[in-house]
Amino acid sequence: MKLTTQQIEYVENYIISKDIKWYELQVELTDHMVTSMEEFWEKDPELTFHQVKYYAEDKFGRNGFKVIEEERTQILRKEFRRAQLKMIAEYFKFPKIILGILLGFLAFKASFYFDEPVKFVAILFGLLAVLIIPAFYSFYINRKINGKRFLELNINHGTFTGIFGLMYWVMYFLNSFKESVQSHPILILALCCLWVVGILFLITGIHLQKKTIENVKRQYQLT
Amino acid sequence: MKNSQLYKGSLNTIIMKLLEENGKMYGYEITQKVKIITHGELNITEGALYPALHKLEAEGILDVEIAKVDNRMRKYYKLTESGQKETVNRLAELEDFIRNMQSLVNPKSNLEF
Repeated sequence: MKLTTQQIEYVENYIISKDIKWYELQVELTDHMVTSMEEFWEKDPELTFHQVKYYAEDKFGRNGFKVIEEERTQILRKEFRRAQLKMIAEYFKFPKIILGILLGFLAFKASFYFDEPVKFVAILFGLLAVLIIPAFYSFYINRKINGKRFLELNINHGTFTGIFGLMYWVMYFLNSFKESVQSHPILILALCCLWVVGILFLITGIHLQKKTIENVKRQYQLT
Repeated sequence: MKNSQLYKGSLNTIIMKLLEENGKMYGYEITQKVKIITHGELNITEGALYPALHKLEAEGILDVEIAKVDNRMRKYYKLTESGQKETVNRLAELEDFIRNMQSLVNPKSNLEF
């Protein structure tokens, strides 16, 4: 026996009420529940709507929907990290590595033109904050596509929090060890290298975000 | 899942094999197909199926396709190009594993060959 549109909507809203806010999971779990309910009803037409719903949900186990969502979050987070590190590793190979070395070297060299290299390093990381604004804006406007929220798109925010974390750590380091940084150019060089790594995280984060948006739009036929 | 520990490591390969044979499938269909093939001996739980599908999708082995069926959206899974190659490798690994297990569990039958 097929479920009516109203009954399907009821199941969908029930899944949403279980705090499943991601569209890809709502679609998957609703379809699974509905198909399973229809099969239970096929076997025993005497059962009520709520009975078949109970039996179908029972197959997911206690807090089953939420457990699936949590596991998906872990999987996507892990895969995003792996893909990002793989992309960054590419920048440490020839010939891309030349670009990184050049950028780090130029930043280091530019610090000589400042009376207080610490201030220069602070400006460098401040620049990273400026660069992150358009990327964060893009993340914000794409957090929903056609009003639908996707877990895959939400995972990308890890890059921004990571970069903000790095900036906070560097500013803290500069404030705490100002004298040491001032008198040891090697520390300036190390911070310039760290800045290059920050830039790489930002570039790869933006690239992966773009790729994920395109992929989600293609898979879910959204414009 | 009966003897779940024995089947656990092979779940991804089972899913990949089914998708290789059937083209595209949705979650519920996979659980039912496995039940039919194994005459009810193997029952893939929802809690095991979806994390496995999501992992394979995240690894780029599976791709997703959405379609409207009976007044609701349905999410189909299918093998990607790299997923098809990976299926061949994983099936070969599984066959090796089964052969080795057979040799260990029943060494006499192996000697007869």
